[in-house]
Amino acid sequence: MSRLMKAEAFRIKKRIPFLLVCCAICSLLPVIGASGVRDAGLKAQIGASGGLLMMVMMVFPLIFANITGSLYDEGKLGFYEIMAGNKPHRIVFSKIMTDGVMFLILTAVTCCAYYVIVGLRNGLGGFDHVLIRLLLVIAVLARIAFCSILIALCFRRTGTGMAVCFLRFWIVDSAVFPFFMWFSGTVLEWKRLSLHFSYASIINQLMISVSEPVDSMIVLHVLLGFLIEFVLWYLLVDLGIRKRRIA
Amino acid sequence: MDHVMELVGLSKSYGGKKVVDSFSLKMEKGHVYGLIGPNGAGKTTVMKMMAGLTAADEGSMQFFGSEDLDGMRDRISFIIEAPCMDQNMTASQNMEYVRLLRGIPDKNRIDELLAFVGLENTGKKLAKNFSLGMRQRLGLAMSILPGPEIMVLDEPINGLDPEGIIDIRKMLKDLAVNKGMTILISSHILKELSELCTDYAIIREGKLIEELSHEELLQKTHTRLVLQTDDVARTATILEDHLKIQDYKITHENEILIYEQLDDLRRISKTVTDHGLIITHFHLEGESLEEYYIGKVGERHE
Repeated sequence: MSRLMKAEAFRIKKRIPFLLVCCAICSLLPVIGASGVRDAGLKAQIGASGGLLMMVMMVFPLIFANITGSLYDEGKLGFYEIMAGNKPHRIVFSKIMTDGVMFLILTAVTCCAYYVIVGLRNGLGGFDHVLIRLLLVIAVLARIAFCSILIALCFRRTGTGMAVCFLRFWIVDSAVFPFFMWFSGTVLEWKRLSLHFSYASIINQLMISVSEPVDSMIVLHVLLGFLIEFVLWYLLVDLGIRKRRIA
Repeated sequence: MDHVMELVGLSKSYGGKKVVDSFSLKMEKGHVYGLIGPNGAGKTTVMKMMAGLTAADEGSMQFFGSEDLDGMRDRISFIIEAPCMDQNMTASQNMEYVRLLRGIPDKNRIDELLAFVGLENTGKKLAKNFSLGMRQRLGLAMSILPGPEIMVLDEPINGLDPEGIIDIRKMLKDLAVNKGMTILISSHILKELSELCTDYAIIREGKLIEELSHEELLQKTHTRLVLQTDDVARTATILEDHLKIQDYKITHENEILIYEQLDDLRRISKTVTDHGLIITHFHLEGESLEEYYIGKVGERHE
């Protein structure tokens, strides 16, 4: 596995500058977003900066999918890895442990940088459960990073993986979950179910983690949601490999 | 007998159609096997099963006497259909990728091998901008880098120009003869295979229809050396006394037809000329591998 990881790290090395540029933009966006409310207090600054950042966060899955690429893409490097005697699940996990960890570290550091600086400058104020909030944010970012990689590995073409990432992280999060939230809350008047749909959205999970009271429901949704989605996409990757057996 | 690879009763079906049917082959160490068959015969499918790219429906395989195929694939290199490489990396970068993946400590091997295949001057050119011949050469270099004991090559000389074909043939011959590598190669260019292979496996409709060595092929195709010199009688004496050749005949056109020791033509030619004779005619004739193959499978091999 370590050889797979070293080779993968070498392969994506040349994409790191591009990723760093994206992360640098991410770290500047909250500054821009909060520039109009610099004197309005900590809560207002965080609230104003988050919106722009959320939108950008939804673009990152496409970038991650593009960098990871497909197992079956034109160069068929995934084939080479199989022919070198590596089992498919090892290849998949090596990409998660290499690409995924790199994506997670870079995005977590740059996306959280602004908030850390604001916190250091202004103090925490009424901000509670800092460590838990940080862990929740990291868990959500990890879900975005790892699942983007798995989505990319499901499909024959990198472009298809990117398109599915867009559907998953934009359409499902921006339209499908809100629709079910509205439908269950307003039409069926099942408030609890509506709340669960609200918590299921990644965008909401990020927002709640940083600006709303932290309770057991959000923790459960973040952790269970990560686990369930990761397993589902992994099973699809595995099914694709077995069905095609890379052919 | 030292079998490095054993395929026993391999079968594979796609959509109900059997594309490989009870295919068996044992490969000896240091031999070069030519896998010959028409399009759709199952050659690539057999190689894919060996490479782990597709699972056999029936049958078994052993590599180096072990059934731990993934573990043993570390000692084998494959080129199946087209060489695998990252199109957005240079030749050196692709080689470095292989070096890291296969855990090869020596970085100097990369430059040596790129020079061996004639790609030492590609610099920053990306693989996606390589010609077909350059990609085949890079694929070969990437296959040789791990120092495999077996190479499985699916049509490695397809699309190459004549110089490229000769270069690849020389490289493979050098690997087989000087490095003792076992090679399984499929190709449509039977003339090239007949210059390179020590053994042949003819496959048709997924079935192995014949397996024979190069010597057996020469016998079956009645291949003979036609030799003419300025003194036929003295030549015959030299052949018998110095080369111990008994299986020959002299035609009424003063040609000597030699049927044995055809794998060492240089020795025959040198021995004759060392005794002061002038060779006026020296060529092999008989059925070619292609003609023999067509006779076996009943169609032109294109």
